[in-house]
Amino acid sequence: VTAYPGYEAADDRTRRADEDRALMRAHVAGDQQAFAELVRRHRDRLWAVALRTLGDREEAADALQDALVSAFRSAGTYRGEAAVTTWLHRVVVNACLDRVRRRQARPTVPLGSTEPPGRWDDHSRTETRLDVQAALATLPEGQRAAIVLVDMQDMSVAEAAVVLGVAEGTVKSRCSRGRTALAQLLRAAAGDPGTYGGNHDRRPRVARAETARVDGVAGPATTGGAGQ
Amino acid sequence: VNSALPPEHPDDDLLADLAADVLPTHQARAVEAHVMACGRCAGLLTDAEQVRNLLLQDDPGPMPPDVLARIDAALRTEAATFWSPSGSLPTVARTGPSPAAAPYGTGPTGAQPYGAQPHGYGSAASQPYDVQAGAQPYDTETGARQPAGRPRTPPPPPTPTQPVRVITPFDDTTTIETYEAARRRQAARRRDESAPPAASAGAVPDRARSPRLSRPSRVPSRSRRDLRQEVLDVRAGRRGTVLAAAAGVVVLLGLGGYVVVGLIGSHQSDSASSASSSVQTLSAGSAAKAGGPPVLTTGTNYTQATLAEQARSLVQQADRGVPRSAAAVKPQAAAPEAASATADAGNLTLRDPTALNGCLSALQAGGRRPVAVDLARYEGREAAIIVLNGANGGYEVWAVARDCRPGADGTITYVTLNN
Repeated sequence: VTAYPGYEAADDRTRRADEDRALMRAHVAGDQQAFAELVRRHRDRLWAVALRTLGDREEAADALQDALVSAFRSAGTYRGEAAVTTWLHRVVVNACLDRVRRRQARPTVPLGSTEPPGRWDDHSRTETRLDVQAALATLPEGQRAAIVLVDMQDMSVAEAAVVLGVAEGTVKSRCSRGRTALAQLLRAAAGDPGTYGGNHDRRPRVARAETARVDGVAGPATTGGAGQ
Repeated sequence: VNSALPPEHPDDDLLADLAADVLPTHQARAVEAHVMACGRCAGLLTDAEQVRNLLLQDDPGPMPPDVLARIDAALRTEAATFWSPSGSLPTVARTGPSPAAAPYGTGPTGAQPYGAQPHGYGSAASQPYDVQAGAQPYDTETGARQPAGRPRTPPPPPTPTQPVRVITPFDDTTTIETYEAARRRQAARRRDESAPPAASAGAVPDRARSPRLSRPSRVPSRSRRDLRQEVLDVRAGRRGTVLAAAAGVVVLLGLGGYVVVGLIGSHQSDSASSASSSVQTLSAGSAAKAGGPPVLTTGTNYTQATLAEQARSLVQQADRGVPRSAAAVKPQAAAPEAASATADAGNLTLRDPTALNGCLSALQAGGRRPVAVDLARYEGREAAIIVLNGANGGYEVWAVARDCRPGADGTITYVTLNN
């Protein structure tokens, strides 16, 4: 864990969490500077969450704006049990997922555009971003949100579970399924379709990508049965 | 090796769940046995693990300036309305309502508004503040204190002069329940560790007695100034003191004097299991017959966590025109920790239809007939719960001060419920 960027010593986290709580109380009590300070402290991480979850800059900005205004208003509902950053992430993630669902309700994006372009082992940061973003976009929203929080924001599984309002096991499962699907997609996009298709997976690549897009997240899948 | 395997690999999701260690034991064994013998599946899991490294390399960078600017503008707009209840108070040089407005504590009026300060989401749109300002007291990443902190002096007088609106809009009750359910789970888990020893020692007054805070105050609880000091304390690394303070903190929330009880109090409130000791019940029928809205005094302690269901229950009572008896009140909804602090009878002004109408107009709901009104409690404090028909068939639920009136609606919280 210590190898991940963004890791902070536990003491430091505790201190910052205490500061956040004090700022929330000050905001609720009428300190007009407090919320601005909270935004300053968390804006970059929240921006990253929104951008990664939605994959679209403008939508991410819209969602983040809505979420922060909502957080500003509803700070009184924050009771201090979870860290403020957890609470803020929850508000932002919910705002983003709302948009994802609305977008799905009126699909204007042609399916083809979700195909991950280019190679995934490119070392250019921009290139990597594009690829990762495109690949993320193919994941079901639950998996995407879990991956964003745990693998990209370096959030603990426990905290991500609170943010997403699901059990920790569900977060683990979603992350792992998402990673597996990404591995398949990115590998395929790198022009190496045979690696995992092998002689055994007779589904065309599109079908496999489709599976990654529409699968559920709750229970184990039904195919396979190998070894039973 | 592969020839010994069945032609089908386990589904990718099964493989993933194996890696996540969430499969039932028997299933895990079977899938694991396959992976051990299958290069394809083992390779997939290896690659899936390596995806993490790729994901970590992805760096979206800081929030772009244009996004920062629009969010700042939106929050500024929000602040302008937020800090100016009902739009009835001037945004600059506000003066507070009379001390009589505060049911839980009164303080000096005419305090300096925070809006005069150069940063923060002040009520005056012309304020120079914005989130982009360079004078960040903290480095967002490291939390390191930077020398050029914003001016936080002179210390404002200890008493806020204006009720604070804490508006909590939710599109549906599911959102509320889901979050609150998670919160309650957490609360139950952390209850034991949440009270530092200093809590029972009543450490709050002591910590607040720094020289700069020693000015006489009529405020019986923590003032806004204290909170600001607390923030500063935290920043200065005086965490021990602050933690001790937090344990017993009572936060004065606006001039209305609504008091949010801190860690200890809120837990008591959350877990309140005692039935109301003095539920006063007023016939709902009489007011209803008179054509006014049914005004109940059920003695219920409404809480953030249960406001939705409690409001629905209130509507049902009002519909029946028969107030629910004390015994029927669910334990957790019943009177809370400090029955002695404020009598349930309390301020019953809103039983007067004229007063109620005044309150409704303060809520900008003038002319609308409430579905139900309950002169009860919210989070343990006297409050009026007002339920209105929502625009889309649901309900609007307001928790306001019992002395809610034109110019001082005293809103504590507000939620909308879907039907």
